Formats: sequence, C-alpha cells, structure tokens
Amino acid sequence: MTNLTFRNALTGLRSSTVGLNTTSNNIANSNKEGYSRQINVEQFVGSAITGSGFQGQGSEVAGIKRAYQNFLGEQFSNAKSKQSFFTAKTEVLARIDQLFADENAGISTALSDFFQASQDLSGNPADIPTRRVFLARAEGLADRFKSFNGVLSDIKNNTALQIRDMTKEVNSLSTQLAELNRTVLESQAKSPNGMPDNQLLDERELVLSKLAEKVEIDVVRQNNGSVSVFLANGQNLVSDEVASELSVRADESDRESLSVGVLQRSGNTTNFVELNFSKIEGGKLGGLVNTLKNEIPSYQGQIGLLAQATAQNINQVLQQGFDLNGAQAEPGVSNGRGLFDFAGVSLASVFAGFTNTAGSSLTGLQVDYTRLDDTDFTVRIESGGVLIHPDGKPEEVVTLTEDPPGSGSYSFDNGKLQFNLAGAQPGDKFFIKTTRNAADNIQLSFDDPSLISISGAPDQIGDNTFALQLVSLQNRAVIGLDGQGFSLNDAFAGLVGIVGDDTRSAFVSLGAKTSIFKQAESDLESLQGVNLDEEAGNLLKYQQAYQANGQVLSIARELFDDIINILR
Amino acid sequence: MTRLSTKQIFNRGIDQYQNLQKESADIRSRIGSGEKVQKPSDDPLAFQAAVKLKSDKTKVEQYNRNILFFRNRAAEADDALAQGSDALVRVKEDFINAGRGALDMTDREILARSLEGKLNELSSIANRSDSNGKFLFAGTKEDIQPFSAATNFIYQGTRPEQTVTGMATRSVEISANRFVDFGVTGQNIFVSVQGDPNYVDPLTGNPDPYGDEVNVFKTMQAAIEALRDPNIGFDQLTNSFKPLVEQLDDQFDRMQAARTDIGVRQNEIDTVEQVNFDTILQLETLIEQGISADLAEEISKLQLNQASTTAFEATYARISNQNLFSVLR
Repeated sequence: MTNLTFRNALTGLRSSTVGLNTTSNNIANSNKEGYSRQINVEQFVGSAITGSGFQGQGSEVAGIKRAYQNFLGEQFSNAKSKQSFFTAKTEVLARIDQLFADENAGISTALSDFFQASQDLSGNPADIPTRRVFLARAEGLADRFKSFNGVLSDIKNNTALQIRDMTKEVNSLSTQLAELNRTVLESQAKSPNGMPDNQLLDERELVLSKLAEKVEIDVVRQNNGSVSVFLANGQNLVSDEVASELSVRADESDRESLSVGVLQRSGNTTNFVELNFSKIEGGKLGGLVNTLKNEIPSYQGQIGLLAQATAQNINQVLQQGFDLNGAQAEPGVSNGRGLFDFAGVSLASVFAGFTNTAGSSLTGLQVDYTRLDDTDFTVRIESGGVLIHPDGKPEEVVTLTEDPPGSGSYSFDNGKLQFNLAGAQPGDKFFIKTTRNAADNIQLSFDDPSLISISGAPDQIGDNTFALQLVSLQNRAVIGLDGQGFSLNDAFAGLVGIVGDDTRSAFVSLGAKTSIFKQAESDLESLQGVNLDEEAGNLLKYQQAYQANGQVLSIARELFDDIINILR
Repeated sequence: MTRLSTKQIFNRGIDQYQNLQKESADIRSRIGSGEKVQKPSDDPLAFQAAVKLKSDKTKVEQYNRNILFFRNRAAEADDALAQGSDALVRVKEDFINAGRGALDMTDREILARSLEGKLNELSSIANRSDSNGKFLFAGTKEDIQPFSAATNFIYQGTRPEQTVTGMATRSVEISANRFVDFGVTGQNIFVSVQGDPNYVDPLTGNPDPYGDEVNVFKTMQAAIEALRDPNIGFDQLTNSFKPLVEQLDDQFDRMQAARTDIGVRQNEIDTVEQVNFDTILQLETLIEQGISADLAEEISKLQLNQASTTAFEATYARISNQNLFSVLR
C-alpha cells in the first residue's frame, strides 16, 4: 500500500514539476510574437489491482499541447495579407496625394501664371519686358511639367526598388520555411510521443504569416506534417524542403517598369515565369505591383498628355502669327515659331516584345490627334495579319499598305496612328506608350522675346490677335476623354480628383481590411496568447500540488518508518 | 466569455491610445493650417473643385488687371484729348481772327506763326507715347508715328480695313469672353474726311494713297499757307477761311466724340470691374466653404479628444497595474 502512495506522490511531484515548467515557459514567452501558450496534457495511468480492487497509480503528463488552431492561424494570415496589400498601396498613393496637394508644385498654378502672362501680352503685345515675362512663365510651365513628372518617376522608381527588396524578403522567408519543414519533421521523428517541437511549429506559423504579409499565398498542410505554399496563380513557392525563388525583370510591355516572376530551374536552364498580379489582392508585393502597373503609369500618361496638349495647342496658335520683326513661322522648321518643343525626342515610347524575331522593327511612329488622349496601343503580328489593340478597346485588324512597304495606319476615336513594320513575323509584339516622353522633354523653343509671334499682320506690332487666342485656350476644351472635352486646367483638376479618389478609396479599403485583421488577430490571440493572471493561478495550482505531493511523500515515509519501528 | 490574453489587453489599450493621438494630430494640423481639406484624398471632390475655383479666381483677377491697364491707357488718352481740345479752341480763335479780315501781312504772319506753334503742339499730342514708349494713337502699328510733316500729315497708323478684325486698336478681355477695345486712333480723333487708298495726285498723276484725307493738321497747314499767301487778298481771306472754320468745327466735334467714347468705355469697365470683384469674393467664399476648417468645431473636437485622452490615461494606468502577481507574495 505504501508502495502505491510513494508512486502516487512521485508521479504527482513529476506532473506538477512539468506543470511548473510549462507555466514558467508561458510566462517567459508571454510577449513573444507568434508564441502559442502551452498546456499540460495529463493522461490516466492504468490502475493497479489490489486486494481492495482497482486503485489509481498516480498521474502522468502525456505531452505538452499548443493552444493553436490552423483555421484561426490561416484566417489571421489571410487578413494580414489583405491588409498589407492596402498598406503598401496607401503608402505609395499617399506620396502622390501629397504631390498633388502641393499647389506650388502643381500644374494648375503654372498654367494660371502662363495665361496671366498671355493676358498681359494681349494688353501690351510689343513691350519687350512683358514678352520676357511671358517667356519666363512659359519656361516655368515647361519646368513644372518636368519636375512634376520627375517626382512621379521618383515614386515609381522607389516603388520598383521596394518590389526588388520585397522579393528578396520573400525568398529569405521561403528558404526559412523550407528549412522549418525539415526541422519540424526531424523533431517529430525524435519525439518519444510523436509530437513535434511546439516551438518549431510556432516559428513555422510565424514565417507563414510573414510570408502572407509580403505576398498572397495558399497554404496546403500535408499529412506528413510539412507545409506547402502556392502563389495565388498556382505557382509552387515552397514544397517540403524546397523553396522556389522569386525574381524581377524589366516588364515586356514597359521596360521602365518591372515584372515579378518565379525562377524555374531545370538542368542548367532557368526560366522566368511571370506572375500575373492583375487579380491579386493580397500581400505588400501585390499592393506595390498593383500600384506600379495601374495608378502610376495612368497618372504619368495623363501628365504626359497634358504636356503634349499644352505644347501642341499653344504652338498651333503662335504658328499663325507674326513676330516683332514681321516674320511668320519659318517654313521647314519642325515646330515653326512654336513656343515649345520636345528636344527632338519622340513623344511615344515603343517597346519590342522579348521574343520578337531578330531584326523585326516598328519605326516611323506618328500619332495625329484630332483630339488628344492618352490611350496606349499594342501591335501584334499574327499569321492572319497585323492586329492593333488600343488599351481598353477591342483588337482590330490593320491592313498594311505597300507604299512604303510595311506601312500601317489605324484610325481611332481621337486620331490616327501610323507606323512602319519591317521584318516582323507572327508572334512579334510592339507596345506603344503614346505620351510617355512628353512631360520629361517639353522645353522652350527660343529665348528671344521678339520672336513671339502674336500679331495678326506683319506691320502691326501692337496687334494682339494671337495673344487673345492664347488667352482663349484657357477655357477651350482641348483634351478629349470618352468623347467629352476638358480644358487644360480642368484636365489637371480632373486628374487631381482621380488621385484623391484612388488614394481615399485605398485608405477606406485599408480601414476595412484592418478591422477584419484586428478581429482575426483577436480571435487567434484569445486562443493563443498568454494571460498572466491565468498563469499566476496555474503557478499557485502547481506549486500547491507540488507541496501536497511532497507532503504525501513525507507521510508515506513516516508510515514506512513507523512500520519499520514496530518490527524492530 | 471570450478569453483575453495579457498582450491583448495591453495592445488594445495601446491601439486606442494611438488612435486618440492620431486624431489629436489631425485636428491640430487642421487648426494650424485652417484647412480641413489639405490633400486630394481628404475630399477628392472638394479639392478638385478648389483647383478649378482657384484657377477661376486667378482668371478674374487677371480681368481686373486688364481693366487697370486699359484704364491707365484711357486716362492717358483722355488727358491728351483734353489738351487737344484746349488747343483746338485756341486754334479756332486764331481762325476767327483770320476770318475777320482787316489784317495786314505782318498781322497775318503773327497769326501764321501762332498757328504753327499750335500745329506742333497738336501733332505732339497726336504722336504721344504711352507708358511703354509706344505711340498711343497709331492703332496697332504702334511703332509708327501717326502724323508727321514728312508724310504730309496723312495718318500713318492702323486703319480698320487693314486688319482681320476690322478694328484698328486691340482689345483685351475684361470678363469671360467680353472684350473691350481701346477704340481711339489718330484717325478717329483728327481725321474729318477719310482719304481714298487709290487716290492719284491730280497735278503729278502719281498715286498718292489717302492724299485727299482731311484732318486737323492739313486744315491748319492750309490756314497757315493762306495767311502767308500774298496772292490772297484782303477781302479773299475771309472767304478762304470759311470752309477751314467749318472743317475745324467738324474736327472739334470728332475729338469730343472720341472723348465721350473713352468715357463710355470707362464707365462700362467700371461696372465690369465691380462685377469681377463680386465674382472674386464669391469664388473666395466657395473655396473657403470647400476646404476651410470650421475652427470652432475643430477646437471643440480637440477638447473632446483631450478629455478622452486624460480619462484613458487614468483608467489605463489603473487597469495595467492590476494583475494577480501583484498580490502574490
């Protein structure tokens, strides 16, 4: 009988020691990110058959359980992923929002200044100081376009840089995950009760949630205890102990932008499999790529369009007038006596497809607008012919003419596109960004104030016919979008509204995703997190159990001694 | 009952505290700048409207700048015409004296010299420059002297038929699509009979465009010539001056008409200027309503925020001190 008592006391002492260990470990880790509190799992120990029937043989700790549920963990990771998408997006958009908020940097004030100078010129057309101010305002307007677009380009480059860094972080996390898959399985094999190391499981879940924060993932838990990760388009990122590598390269349709893809190695060759981010709504990487491919090029396209429209319309007016010397626009000079030019740079950028036939080219691109817009085009060569695809519109077949050979033209709502194809084979592609280079290259054509040609007659230096036409440009609808016309300033104001809307709606989404995330975090934390009051209770519980079991042991020993003494 | 972890209890507190602090920073930024819409995303529609309204305001301000410029020129012209009228009155006195007869050649020479002086005076008025050094009454050919002896005092400035617009002077915009032209040229101030561009000198047979033009200067030249012409006898002078006096009367009327014209335009632009000032005020009000912060509202929000922060700090400190370990000894 004392034998059982001894045994009970000893197992009790052991169980409460384990309990004290578990509790103290919980207390020690109460602030650690990703830590799941641990709970003793005590199991029944078989009873012994005695003369009095079955009697208990003490307690036994079968294992230490983590307070964790995969469902809650995944809910947490997914919510974090969706929140991070908008965190990244709002960070980029907030900078653009700030740029548009700055009146001194905006196009609107520069336009107003220019038109004011035009008004002054209409009042005083032959006055040299007035003409100098006019030129200075015109140059200020050109510079404003450059600097404004420059800030957008900085934001774009910075976003691209963040995308590069982000892919490196993803790669580091994938490698950690693959390594944890290995160590979890190892610990499982070593464990006497078949339960893997709780700490490794916590670490793995933490890596998974960090991965989800960077990029949208699907997690598949294998029966063998390892975890596989797929990217949103089905590409495998981590499988057992193998991690794939994310990489970036220049975007095919826009070399000034980036594409993200997975490197697939087979033998000595490495393939870049581009990830399509168009439907991805999770992860910081997703948010950055989304903004890089949608908002930024759209804003820059419109600023380019505005620069082009400004130069074109002002030039058209001044090319009809006479300057102070009575001379009209110079024939044969490309911009005549226009106020602005683009330093000889073509306004559109043309990017050839990566897999184009060697020697295939699209040259002589000319876009004549009846009304300016910033639609970009893709030209695809198929065996059936040449297809042209305006952004957001259906593709159309273009018939090439033989004069000159390979020349094609395509009329769209607001104008006509002309180009010349040479050596192009089916499968070749060309991507045309129509207003890409306008804002960066707009400049003043001349700095001699006497050359401003605003007079309607060669011998009337006091005539202001074309200064008045410049003035009237301020209110004229010169930019066509969806069939509606906008004046230059209204077009800029419209863009300001779009930027505000985009930024605001990203912040609203961020708010919504953050509340969902907070709820998911709370759900997980209330299961997983350590409550110190609870642990204090456990500490007392195990301490008292330990003391009680010690007391039992002491009594058992006394009883044993008593019996010995009787027999002596 | 939901289980709460210790971290959760602390984090919730920190979250709430951060929200309060962010709110306080936002309110203080609005109070500091006086604007509730500081960037497009604060209120896209209001910000966009403000961009347009501010541009509209600059536009209207420029209209008033144009008006100011017009008014300066008009004042210069009016000043010149007042002096011109004054001179013409004195010319007329000389004409009347000459027409009265009973003058010997010495008297006639004195009158001729007096008229010559007035001719110079009037031609310097007609050739007056504006503040930028351009001829005020040459129309748009403002670099060409409108009247000079070298060109027989025929008007050299812009004539309406020479321009695309049919106006010899330029106009400036004084409100949206409303233009006012300066209107006065040497032609409508000093010329009483328009010349023929295809006029041929009857004596030489050479083309002499506008050679038959009649103006103040040519009338005065004719008067001076008549006074000095010994062939024009004592009794003939009165007859010679009769048509000249008529011409001068006509010319005087024209000058007064030009002055009236300028006066009418000045009244018109005064009205427009007032309307423009009203428009600027309205635009400012609209801009203000769209983007300005309501300071009273913001300050009361700030006070509420401070009260919440104080209450939060007190309760948070108390709650976070409570845990079982503090009672375990």
